[in-house]
Amino acid sequence: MADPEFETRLGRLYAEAPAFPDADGFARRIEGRIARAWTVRRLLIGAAGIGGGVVAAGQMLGGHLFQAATGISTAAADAVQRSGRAVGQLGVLTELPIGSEVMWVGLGLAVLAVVLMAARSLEEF
Amino acid sequence: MADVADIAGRHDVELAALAATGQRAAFGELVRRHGSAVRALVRRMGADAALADDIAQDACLAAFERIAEFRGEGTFQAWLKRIASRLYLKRVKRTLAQALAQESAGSDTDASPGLADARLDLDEALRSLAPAERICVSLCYGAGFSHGEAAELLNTPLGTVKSHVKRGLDRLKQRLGGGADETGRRVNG
Repeated sequence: MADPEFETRLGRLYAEAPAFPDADGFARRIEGRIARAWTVRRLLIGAAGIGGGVVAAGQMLGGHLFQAATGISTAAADAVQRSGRAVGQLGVLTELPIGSEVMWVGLGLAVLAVVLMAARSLEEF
Repeated sequence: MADVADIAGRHDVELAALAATGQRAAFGELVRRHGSAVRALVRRMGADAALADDIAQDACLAAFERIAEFRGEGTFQAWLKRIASRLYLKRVKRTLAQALAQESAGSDTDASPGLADARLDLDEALRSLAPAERICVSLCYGAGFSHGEAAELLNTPLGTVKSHVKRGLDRLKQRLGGGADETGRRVNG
């Protein structure tokens, strides 16, 4: 038969935790393990970013992307020049010494910046 | 970032919110407050000291990973105890199924009424229980699971859990003594 009084007492006895002499050391060990886990995570994200960047750069170079891009960017530059001529105020853009390689390097840096931002966001959240 | 003195004065829910933003010191304070209770519970469930500490550490790390899930609906300690209980059951899964299948292994002769006068504490009294009784009683009265939740966790019929709890309670009552007066004395002193 149920004995609510004893059950309440038992619950209270369970709630009375004995004081462990190494309670502070235990907490410090947990904090240390959390700190190590965060460091490892940060390193992994960084390594993954670098690895991904190296692979991407290798693929771009191996696939003669820059040469292919030259043709595309030449056409793009022509289009910009045409637009520039059409819009007199933008004429200054056509005078900028921007080659197609510079444009693609700039694009690459922008992509890298986005990747770094994403890595940072992952780290934060 | 909150400083140490500020952290020590905060409520568990506030500390959990700070820990969710990545403040490890806030989580450290929560562990300082409730780590002992969790370690004690796992020992009371039947783990030895080393295993209990191991489980408690894993439970704290799991809690930190899932801290955003703690919304302060119950106490932080209860939440942490539930995590630790689940981890312990997972760890002893193999031996647990055997223990639950067995009928009570403890002997009634151990639980002689005279021992109640010896003012045995809970830890000693729990040692007189069969493993299945100890786990079922600890899940329900230490970790705050209902009989149904315990049955689900143990993957055991509800009736089996209830009978283990009942036998366990009977033994504990004999060991600890069932008087209300003694309850007051024990809790207060």
